[in-house]
Amino acid sequence: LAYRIGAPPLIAILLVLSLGPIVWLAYSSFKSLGSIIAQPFSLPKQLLFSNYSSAWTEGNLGRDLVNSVVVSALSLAIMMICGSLAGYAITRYTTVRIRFGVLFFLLVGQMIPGQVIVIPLFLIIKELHLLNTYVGLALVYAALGTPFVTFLMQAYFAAVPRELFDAAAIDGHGELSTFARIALPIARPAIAATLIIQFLFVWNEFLLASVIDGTGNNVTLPVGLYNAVQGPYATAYGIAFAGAIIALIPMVIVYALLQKHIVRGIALGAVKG
Amino acid sequence: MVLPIVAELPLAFSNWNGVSSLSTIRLVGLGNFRLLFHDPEFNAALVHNLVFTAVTAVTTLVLAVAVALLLEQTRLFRGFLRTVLFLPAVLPIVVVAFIWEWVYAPDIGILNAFLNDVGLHSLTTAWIGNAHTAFGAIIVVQDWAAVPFFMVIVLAGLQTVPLELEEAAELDGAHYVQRLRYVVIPHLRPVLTVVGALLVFWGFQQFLNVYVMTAGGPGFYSTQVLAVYIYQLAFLYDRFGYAAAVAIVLLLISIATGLVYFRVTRFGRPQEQLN
Repeated sequence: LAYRIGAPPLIAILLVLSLGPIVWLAYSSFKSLGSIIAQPFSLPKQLLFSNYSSAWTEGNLGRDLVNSVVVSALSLAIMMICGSLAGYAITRYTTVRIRFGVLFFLLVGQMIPGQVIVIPLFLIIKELHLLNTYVGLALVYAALGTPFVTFLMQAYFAAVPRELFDAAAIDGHGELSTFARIALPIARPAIAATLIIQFLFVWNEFLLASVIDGTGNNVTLPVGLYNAVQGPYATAYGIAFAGAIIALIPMVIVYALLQKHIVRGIALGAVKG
Repeated sequence: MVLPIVAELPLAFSNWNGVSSLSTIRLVGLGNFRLLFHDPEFNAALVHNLVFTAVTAVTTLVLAVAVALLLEQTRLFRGFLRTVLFLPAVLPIVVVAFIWEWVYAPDIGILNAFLNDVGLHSLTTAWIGNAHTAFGAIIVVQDWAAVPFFMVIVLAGLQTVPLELEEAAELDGAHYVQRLRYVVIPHLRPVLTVVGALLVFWGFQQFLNVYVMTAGGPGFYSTQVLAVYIYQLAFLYDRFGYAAAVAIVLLLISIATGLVYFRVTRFGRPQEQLN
């Protein structure tokens, strides 16, 4: 049973390796630049909050946080509405053959890396005159996320007995009413899982955000952090550290609140891949 | 999803610079693709993509399984450990890249500070400013963020291994490694196949760590990868046509790798039953 004895030290090493850099960043963000350079490991002697106020206001991260919230909400709303309606339609109104054709098409589309299509996406948004707008970026995210939402939703709807929907129709529900009152409530777990997976993607996405909203006042938090840290705060480490903490706090809060759902959602997402 | 690809194809055969109106574009035929083969930066990026994908896929897979097995048999602080060790996977990747840029930094970095403290001063270097260490340093960052993510998936997979089977093997005198080899790993195969597929796809898409930490440098493209090259060609140098050609190559390689992977692992076919 030698492997059992080795476990605690191994876990200690794992904890240091995976959390060490984050913890170091967190307490160093309260230190002065001089102290960060001179005593890299030491804890702050007094908590310096000015790093945070600089990053928040002069570094514009407060503004960028709002941008991220708006873009996320808008894109998630569009993709959830389109995806769940499409998923419902696919399960209810197509033959098996058409359904598998559509699903295959969606899955193949999912496998195309965003890096490959960044140029044409940029052109399309440019031609629509939506560069540097919330709507432009939200539309791109919605277009990339809708196939995934459609796929998961149809899988969920397909498991519901047809008779349930038919009964609703006999009871005098119209199509939309059946969808809204019967289908959607049943699919609540699928909605939660897709929302979380897509939120993680949209909130952390960088490449498309930097291409479509890379300048001006509508940059999202990851791009805003990048602009600030590579630009004015390249050597102002204290402020840069505070900025990085501001950028990671929302994710950590979401993770703390929804931990079980996130883990389940990731497992679900992996099975889909 | 189709429109962008369709729009990209003609671009790849053109000399468009991103500014001139679409009507003045000149088609250059296969010129862009011919250029590719003699472009040292493209060739370097291509090789880096392959190496990066292979190394991160194998190391992440092995480490994720190892950590999952370790956590599986740890009773103490079970939930806490799983929660906390998963944390790197939910951080925005930009933040991950910056954290490690700072850890590696020659002036404030704690890696060098640690090496100095334990008397290994000779090992200290500007990790991502040194063309010999930069690529490896980026691979470490990729693993750091990816291992927790896949560890969770492997842990979920471990729940499907029947306990009776493991106990039976133990009664038969199989030691730990044998049980892993003949009971646990075979049961994990479907999960590991999915994990491997994701890792390969992600490896080819590598963009952000390289873009943030080195932008393809230092030296002559010592860490350049295709996605960063595409971005720089189009949005830094206004060579949209050429960038589109590189993008088409990246797409073709992704598809080819995916097909090879599916063929090798017989992904999607019914798994053989274990008795």
